[in-house]
Amino acid sequence: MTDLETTLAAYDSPGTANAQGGIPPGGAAGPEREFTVRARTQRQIVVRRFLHHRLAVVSLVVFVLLIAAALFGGHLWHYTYRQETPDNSVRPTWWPYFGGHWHWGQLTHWKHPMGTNELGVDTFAQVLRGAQKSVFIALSVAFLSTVVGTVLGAISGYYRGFVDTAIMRLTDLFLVFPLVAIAGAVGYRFTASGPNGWVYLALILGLLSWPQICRVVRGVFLSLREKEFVDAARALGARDRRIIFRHLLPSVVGPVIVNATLTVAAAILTETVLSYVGLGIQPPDTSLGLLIQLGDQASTDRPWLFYFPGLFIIVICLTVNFIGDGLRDAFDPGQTRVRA
Amino acid sequence: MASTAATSDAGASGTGGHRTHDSGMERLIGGRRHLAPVPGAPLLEVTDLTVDFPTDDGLVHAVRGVTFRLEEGEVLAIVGESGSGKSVTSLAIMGLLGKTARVGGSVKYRGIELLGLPQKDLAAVRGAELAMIFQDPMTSLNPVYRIGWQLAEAIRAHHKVSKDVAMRRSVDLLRMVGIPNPEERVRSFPHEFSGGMRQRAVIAIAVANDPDVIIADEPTTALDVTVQAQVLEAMEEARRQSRAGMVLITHDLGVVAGAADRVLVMYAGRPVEIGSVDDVFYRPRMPYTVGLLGAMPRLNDATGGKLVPVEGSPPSLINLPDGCPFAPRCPLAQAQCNESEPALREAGAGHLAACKRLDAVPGLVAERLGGGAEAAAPAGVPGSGEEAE
Amino acid sequence: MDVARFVLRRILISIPVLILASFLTFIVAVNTGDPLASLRTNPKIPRAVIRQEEIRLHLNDSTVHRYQIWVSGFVHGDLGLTVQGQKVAPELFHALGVTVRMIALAALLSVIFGVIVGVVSAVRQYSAVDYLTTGASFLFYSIPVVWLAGLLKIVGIKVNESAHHTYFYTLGETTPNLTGGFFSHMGTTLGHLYLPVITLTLIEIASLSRYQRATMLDVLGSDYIRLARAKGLSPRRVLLRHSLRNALIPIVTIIALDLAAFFNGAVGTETVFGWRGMGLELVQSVRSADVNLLLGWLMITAVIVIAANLVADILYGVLDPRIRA
Repeated sequence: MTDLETTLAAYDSPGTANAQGGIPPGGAAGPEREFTVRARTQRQIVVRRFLHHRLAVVSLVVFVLLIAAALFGGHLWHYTYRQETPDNSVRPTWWPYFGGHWHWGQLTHWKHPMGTNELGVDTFAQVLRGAQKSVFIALSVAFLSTVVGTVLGAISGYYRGFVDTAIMRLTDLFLVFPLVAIAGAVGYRFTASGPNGWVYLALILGLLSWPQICRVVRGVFLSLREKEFVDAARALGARDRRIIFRHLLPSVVGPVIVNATLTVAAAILTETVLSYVGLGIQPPDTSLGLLIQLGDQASTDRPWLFYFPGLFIIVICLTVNFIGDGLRDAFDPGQTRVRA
Repeated sequence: MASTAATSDAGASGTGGHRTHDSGMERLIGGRRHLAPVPGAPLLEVTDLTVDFPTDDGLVHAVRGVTFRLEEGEVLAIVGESGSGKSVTSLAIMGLLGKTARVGGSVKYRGIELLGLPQKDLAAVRGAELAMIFQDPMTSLNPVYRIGWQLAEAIRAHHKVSKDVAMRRSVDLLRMVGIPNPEERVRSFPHEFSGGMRQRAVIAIAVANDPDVIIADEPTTALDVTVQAQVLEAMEEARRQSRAGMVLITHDLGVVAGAADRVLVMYAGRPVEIGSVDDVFYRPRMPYTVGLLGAMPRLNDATGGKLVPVEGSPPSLINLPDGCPFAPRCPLAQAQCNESEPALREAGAGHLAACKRLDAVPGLVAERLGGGAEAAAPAGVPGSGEEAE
Repeated sequence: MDVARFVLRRILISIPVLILASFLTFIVAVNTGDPLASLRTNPKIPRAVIRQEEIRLHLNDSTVHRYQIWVSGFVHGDLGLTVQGQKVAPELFHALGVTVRMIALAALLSVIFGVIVGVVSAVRQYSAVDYLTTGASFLFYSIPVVWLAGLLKIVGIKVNESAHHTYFYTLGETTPNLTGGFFSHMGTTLGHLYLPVITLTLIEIASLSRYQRATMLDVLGSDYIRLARAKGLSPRRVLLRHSLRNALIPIVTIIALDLAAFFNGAVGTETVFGWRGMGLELVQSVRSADVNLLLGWLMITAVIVIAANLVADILYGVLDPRIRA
């Protein structure tokens, strides 16, 4: 592409601008790209590329189903997560590992597909409830940290100077502390205070997770600020706000979306550790991390209590990470820089 | 005389005027038995070279049958727009394309087929026999090693000499390409060099082993205009001293006029015209070449100083039309042009052009380039006067 | 000379970060809750005792004043007393010793394997090896560290049972009341280390190898590697002296940055395996609102992370001549 083409592409284009201006990896990629001539809108190209990433598409479908199950499944399922049924310590016998054998017809399997605990509470209902909490937290954290990170990163990269230095020192500071420790320390008195503890946990994690996105956005802004199309806009009398919102922000849409996706997975994992060690979600409420902790205590007698919540987390995070990977490829095929 | 290059200490002598095979005597490349040059074979012979890249959108036919010969000491310029396949051609000759590229045809150096050669054999050829100068000097040098180290490494890759000898030769090479104070500059890192200096260093690396073929891929495109002429001069000097043949890839016709003996014009992955500089500049027989010449600034202009751009844009290399790929942009296009792609035809002695309406082109030349063919002569071109032969 | 000035500059930059960090952590720590909450709700405890405790813990003083007290102790190497009245410093450093044993080993292993896996999968891009390691790293990147630890614990117990020998200890960082010589100690110490270290290593390899792969791919596609090949260097030399040399530079920073992540993982892993390390100290300090203990914890980890970043910056400067300029 010529300079002019690049500049034009950056104009109407969420996320093409290869911010680093780097040479695409793989010796052949350079020449290859030079030849793509057919015109498509940027959005079409992104969607097309994403659909091309089969694993990401499958992951998206699975993820949407899981989210739906987490959000609404608890209301549809025939037990609640606190209901003590008469069936104590039911094994999910449809899986031979748990001391049964393949008897798909047996009704008890479908009564408690993930078994029950020593009080007869249905594990599946618990997992649904835990997933609901974990997903709520993760989505809030991703949203919050993306908004904060993007705004601060944009300010930092656009105005530079003192503001930039201050914000960057702040991100340095945030990255110095282990997230689990600082979130646990700040959040414990809130999470332990009542039934809405998870809201506070989400807030705190969100306010602690923004530095990553902030740095990404700042980097893109710093490099785009000096580009000709920004100069052109400025020469035409555009104000800072217009330049930021109309010309620069569209370019960070790609990296920001990818980062937000990965934050979802990271937040779920952080919540898990926090709740496991006792600084996150507190009983009687439940979350996947708490369920793992309870399951771990019983793992010799009732291992299913340990396995299922964990598998649920893995599937959620795996699909999220695959979606993120697909999005990254879709937004910027040249750039394989991963911090997956 | 076998493996002279490996045993001689040509490196230490510094001036590089040392030749071992002008007589066409038999020798082995890198001491490898199966890399024996064929006596009497042309220096570089590219036959029907094709390069395809698989992409998400389909197979990109980047190069579609390039054929040319390069004789000893000759400078062949390859010109064309971005995306016409010039760079890919050069990388294919050097065997430097990525794994995904599908390369076909034949590339023979002194009769040795280079395509499909194992990496180890290619390594013996590269740098020693065929050297390359890349487009972007800012990224071509490894940032973590000193300039002298990178030069010495190139020398020691092909000559069994001590580090000290290689370093002294590096200093001489830097001096040759016009870097002031070379004794100190060998100790610099690339980031301490300007763009022009880095390109000089890259040129020094290219000629370090006295190659017979230098492939220069747009060597001055990334440089400031003021530096371009100096770097071209350094390159010409280096080439003259090593008496190598050169494939000069560029889209700057001024450079071509100044430096080249023959010109190959590429369009949409194919050569569309090939001939001596005089033929191509004064008697172009392909409308695309006429367009290129018309888009070039000239001092002694008869048409009133107007530059005429070539309208339209090159075709997609994924779905190529059946006919002449230039037809949609061609002022002479007729129905027959869309039927099939024209082959290269004789348009004069040693002058080939791919056009169905060869005979109509001179009329276009008169109209576009202001009648007298002489008007097409480029002027104000760096280094043009002294070099044109 | 050049490098010395660079190092000095980096150290000077770290100091304000550390000071700010200490103040912020102080704010966090004094707000974790009331360390006397259980005393207050106990009707048997006389008010005078509670008053005394409040004075001892400076609960009624202003935050700034309490910070001054803490700082004046900190600069003398005194981290104060816990709520129970023990000295914070020795307790924390003992716990740190336990944790660092695990983190250091895991960091070493994950760097070695992470780099190898990343480089191999980049060089053999789109091969079976690449797909396999990419898949595995995605998997381990999506596993909660505590679940992996629990899983390995189950596996370890199964192995022990079937082998009728305790290869893997799944509880605690050491076996108390050990008798016997150094080597028998050695065996059990390792037995305690295996599973936590494997847990942390697997998780960390996942992200390190992804990063190393991406960096290596960037380098492999760079112009200077193409020039190195064009020079006629052997493929081996291009790989080792040019590609690897350049691709290893950024990983230095990543390792330092990931140290904070290591502590995250360590907190979880230690809790699963019942270690009395930094993880336990953290949970206890937060749950009992123990200001000095929590402050000490956060400051020690902050100093370690800052120091690691400092070392990484310096190393980066040594490895990459562009930074020194």
